[in-house]
Amino acid sequence: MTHTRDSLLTRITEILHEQFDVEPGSITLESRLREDLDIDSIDAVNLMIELKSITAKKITLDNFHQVQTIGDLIEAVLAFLAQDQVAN
Amino acid sequence: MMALLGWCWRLAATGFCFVLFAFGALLLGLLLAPLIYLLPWPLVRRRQLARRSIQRWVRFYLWMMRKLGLLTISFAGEQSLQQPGVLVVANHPTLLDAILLMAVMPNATFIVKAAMARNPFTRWIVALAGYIPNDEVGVELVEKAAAALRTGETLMIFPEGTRTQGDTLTLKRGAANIALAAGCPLLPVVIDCQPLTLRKGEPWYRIPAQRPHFSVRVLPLMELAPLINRAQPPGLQARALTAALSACLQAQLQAHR
Repeated sequence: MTHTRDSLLTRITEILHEQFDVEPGSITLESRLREDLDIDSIDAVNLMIELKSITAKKITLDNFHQVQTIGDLIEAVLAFLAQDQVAN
Repeated sequence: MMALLGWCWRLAATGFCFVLFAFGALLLGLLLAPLIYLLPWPLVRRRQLARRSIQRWVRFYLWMMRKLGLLTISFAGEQSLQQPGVLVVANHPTLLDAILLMAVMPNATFIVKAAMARNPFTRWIVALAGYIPNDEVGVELVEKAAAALRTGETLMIFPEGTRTQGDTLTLKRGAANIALAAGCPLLPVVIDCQPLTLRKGEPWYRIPAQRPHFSVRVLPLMELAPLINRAQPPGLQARALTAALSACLQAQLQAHR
């Protein structure tokens, strides 16, 4: 299954709403996870687990501390998926 | 005139107490800590001694401040702070809150400011007492704290993570996450100081017009089951529990003003 930025935004919005009660209308590519969406470091771990529904296997983002916004997160997931494809 | 004299006295005595505290911390941290460290005792016994020493010291310190007329203190329900396996959570209006609680919780594991665990004067005694620094990455702190609770320790944390800013309590979700991970009840404590002093960012010499009264009230135990739905995602449970705790503390603070 291929993912686009749009499909990832939709899915991540769903996850944030279901798991962390974030208002979907408040989520844009520029939203900062910590400051704007109130996602703390413990939420971030649960978020990584939930992202498995997109990436099929447990996602490891070595550079997660660099992920600040929803846009960053989408790029990081895309990079992970691309890397995963090369590895296979 | 008398009021001014009283104020001057309290200003001088406050300065003295800050120096005294630094001196005591030095003694405890640089003299007593190495001695305790060298004792050929098991870890648990050395930890007990470290905690007892801290308690003795803060009790003396509070006694001194009361005798100097700097403040008055009242405790209510503090006996229940000895319960094993509960997470004690308190609001954090002033610099003295941890000292007040350490005076009545000689067996508890405190989650302390990371700077205390790094400061060369306090790091040894903090380590010996088995206190947990709050700078660990969220998940690791939660695991470590929950593990301590599961073994029956009493744990103490200020869920705001720092002293109260302004009038409203803003709780971080770490305390709720710890209680959820350990499956243990919360024991809320309300600390009130009137008139307010020693707030965050307030210099020591800005003392209030009247002698402040500190009241420390232990509330009834909060069991988790009625407050959360275990079928929900963990993020939602932590939010629900944090909201319930925040409402409880806020209501109690307002009720007694």
